[in-house]
Amino acid sequence: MPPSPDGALISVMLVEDDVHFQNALIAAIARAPDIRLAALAGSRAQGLQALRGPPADVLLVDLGLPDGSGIDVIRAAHSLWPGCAVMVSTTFGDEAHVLQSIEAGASGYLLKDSAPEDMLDEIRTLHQGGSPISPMIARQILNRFRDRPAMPAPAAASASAFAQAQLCAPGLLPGPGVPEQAMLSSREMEVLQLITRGFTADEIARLLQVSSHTVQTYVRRIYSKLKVRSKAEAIYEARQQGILSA
Amino acid sequence: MHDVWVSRKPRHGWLAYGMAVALAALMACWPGRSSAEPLHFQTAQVLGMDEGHGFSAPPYLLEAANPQGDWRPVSLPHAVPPELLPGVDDPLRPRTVVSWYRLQVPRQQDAADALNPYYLYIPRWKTDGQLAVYASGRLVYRSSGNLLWNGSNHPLWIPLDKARSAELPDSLLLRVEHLRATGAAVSSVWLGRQDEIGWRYRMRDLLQVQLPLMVSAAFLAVGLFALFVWIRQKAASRAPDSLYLLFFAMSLASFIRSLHFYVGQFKLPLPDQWFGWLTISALFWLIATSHFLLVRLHRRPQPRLSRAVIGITALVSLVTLPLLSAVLPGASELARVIYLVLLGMGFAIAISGLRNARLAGSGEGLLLASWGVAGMLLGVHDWLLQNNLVSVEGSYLSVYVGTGLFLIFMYIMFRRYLGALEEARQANASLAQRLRAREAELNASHARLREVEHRQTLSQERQRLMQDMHDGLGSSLVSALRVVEDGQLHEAQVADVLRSCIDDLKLAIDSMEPVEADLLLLLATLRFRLGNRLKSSSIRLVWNISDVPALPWLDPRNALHILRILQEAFANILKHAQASEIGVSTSAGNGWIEVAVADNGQGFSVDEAMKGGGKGLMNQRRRAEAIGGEVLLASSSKGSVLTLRLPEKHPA
Repeated sequence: MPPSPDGALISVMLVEDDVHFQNALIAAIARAPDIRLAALAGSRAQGLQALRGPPADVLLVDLGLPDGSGIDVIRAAHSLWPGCAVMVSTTFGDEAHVLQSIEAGASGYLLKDSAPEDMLDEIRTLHQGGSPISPMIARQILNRFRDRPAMPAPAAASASAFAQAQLCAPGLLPGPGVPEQAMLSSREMEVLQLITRGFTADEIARLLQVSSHTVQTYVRRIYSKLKVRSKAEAIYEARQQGILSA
Repeated sequence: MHDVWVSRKPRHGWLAYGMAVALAALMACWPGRSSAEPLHFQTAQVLGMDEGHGFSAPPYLLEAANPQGDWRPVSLPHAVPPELLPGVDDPLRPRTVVSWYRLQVPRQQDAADALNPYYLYIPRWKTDGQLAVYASGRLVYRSSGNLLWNGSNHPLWIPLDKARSAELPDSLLLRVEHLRATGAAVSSVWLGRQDEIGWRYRMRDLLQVQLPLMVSAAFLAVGLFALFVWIRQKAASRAPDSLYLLFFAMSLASFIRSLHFYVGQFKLPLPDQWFGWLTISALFWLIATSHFLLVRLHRRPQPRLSRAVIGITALVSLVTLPLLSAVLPGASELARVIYLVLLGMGFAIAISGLRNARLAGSGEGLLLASWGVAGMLLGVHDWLLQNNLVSVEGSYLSVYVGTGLFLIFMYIMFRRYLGALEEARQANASLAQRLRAREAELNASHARLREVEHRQTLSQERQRLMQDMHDGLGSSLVSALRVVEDGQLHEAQVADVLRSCIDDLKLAIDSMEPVEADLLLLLATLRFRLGNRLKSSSIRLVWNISDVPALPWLDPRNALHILRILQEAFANILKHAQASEIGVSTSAGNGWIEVAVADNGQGFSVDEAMKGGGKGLMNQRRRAEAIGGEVLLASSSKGSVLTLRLPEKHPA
């Protein structure tokens, strides 16, 4: 494998309680010339503790930790290590878990039953700005943006509450809608559509006449929009319910 | 004949003068009353003339001294009683007598005023005959000489300036020509200017003529309304309420009867005899109808009384028919006797009605029966009046029986209307309640159904997963167990078995995801899951799919069938075909959607594969059948194609 573009090794931190998986990945990393293990945590608490240290390039987090959810670690990493690419490890890659992680700040996911070499490839891709995606996840994201295009109207928020929120906080709240940057471009939609049709990144790149790296960055951008959107929605919902005051 | 003249003092019966109180009250506030007293003649001189045959025309002018004879002083009102047993007259030329009344006019008191002439006001005169009025010897008024159309129920209002001048007349003479058999009468007479006595005339005219006319017409209108209600009920094929028909009959009878009181000198286009028959018979019909209405109200059948009422009514109506006038005397001639029969029948009905209504607790029946008794008393009064047995200056009161009936009728209708409203309100309320109950029932049964459905779904899902695990995961694990137990521990073999178990599991999980009828998403998922396998075996996958219609029947169970069929196809190619390329394509048409999986491998004998009954192939066919589709196989030395055909609409 070629070393990373800047010549430095990709530092990886692993938060995982399954010893066998730990060992398999550690062994694979040890064999790889361009990747090094920066830290290892076996629980949520250890993971959060490790986030106080120097940031790693890639963080690999398992969701089902013995003392809590890996989501907390992902969320903390997103704010403490903004430059770190976070990846969730999952057995089945089911969208419920993956989307939850992406909204918390992850940029990709890793299937635990993949061959160790494939896993390293995934780490490299992620580090280079690409993100994996599955047809089901693509469909889910499309649905999410389609269902509530620009202005989410949560069921909990009545029209009067809506008006009230605007009256109470003029100027402080730009509007209950999702920010402009959390909208999908038509090209991004197109990419997602093709993914739900089963096309791979390379095939999509050919179909759209772009580089396959561009397709990868599309996916990364889509993920970050999902993140922004979910955050905006959360704030909006919180305001609607009076949890946050303007 | 002269000896039979009998003069009677006016008798102020309370019935007759009940209205007088109201009148007096109105009088008090009548505008423009002059302080000058009008002349009120309460005495007169009367002269009876010899009898003749038929009505004669009154002369236009009288000699100053005429008529001459034996004038006798009497007080007014004055009545000539009829001969109760007049003997049989020739109906064409009945025997008549003439009575003259002379009124003594005092000398002129105030100056003549041409703009404000004198009027003669005669509150009532009655005779079956004709009246002529002379002022200063000139004829100023004459009624028609007729039994019926002489307008004798109308008070008279005669301007005197036509006779000579605006001055008071020298003399006033009344000529009354009447049947020997029916008597005659004249009330007291007023003479004065309009502002002095006009209100008297207006008030009497209103009460005696106009009001009965208005009420009678209104009664008939409401009766017609009741008739329409009845017809509507009948048309709606419900049992119509006889009440409404009886109301109508009553209003009609009452209207016909009342014609008597306000039809004046203008003859209706009807023979006199028929008119007399009609108005007199109508009274019987009115009372007979009242009887049936009473029975209807208290709902206590009176068969004997009913038969008697029908019998008498029919008999009287028949006997007095003008067709029989050649044989029998007409209705008008018999009226006095007939009315006695009527009073008897009316009282019997009213009293029986009172008793039964009280027993039945019918308020409406009591009301009607009480009014019946009152009406009969008014009838007695009128009979007395007609026969000059009470002061002629009174008024016929039975005309107000119709007014009372009308009010009672309105009251009953009003109560029914309110009752119907209340019923409708309660019906609505109970309807709403029933609706709520039904809704609750429906919800409960819906909930039960949902529960059953839920349980069914769960059980189906359990069966589906069990079947799937039995065929795939289970058997794979069992074979892995065998391998390990046999001690032939080829690591790669075990890893391979486990990997395929995980693949199986992943597909099972994918099948649970809602694909929203999107077959392509399902295929995409399959590719995503199997991609690594293909990559590791270095087979190129050509993904050549095109859009296909949605498959509404694509639920998790059917989705898993499709995934498993295609998974098996891929597995077979990987295992046996030794291909370097797999092509997946989709097409649609004729209600079918096809998914083709083609390889460029060595091919196989389709027949043998069928005969051999490979477990994989059998499973594919079974699954295709379960979703209404089929699996087609074609193979040559250049490669094989497996086509999965799926119906656009689910057959089930």
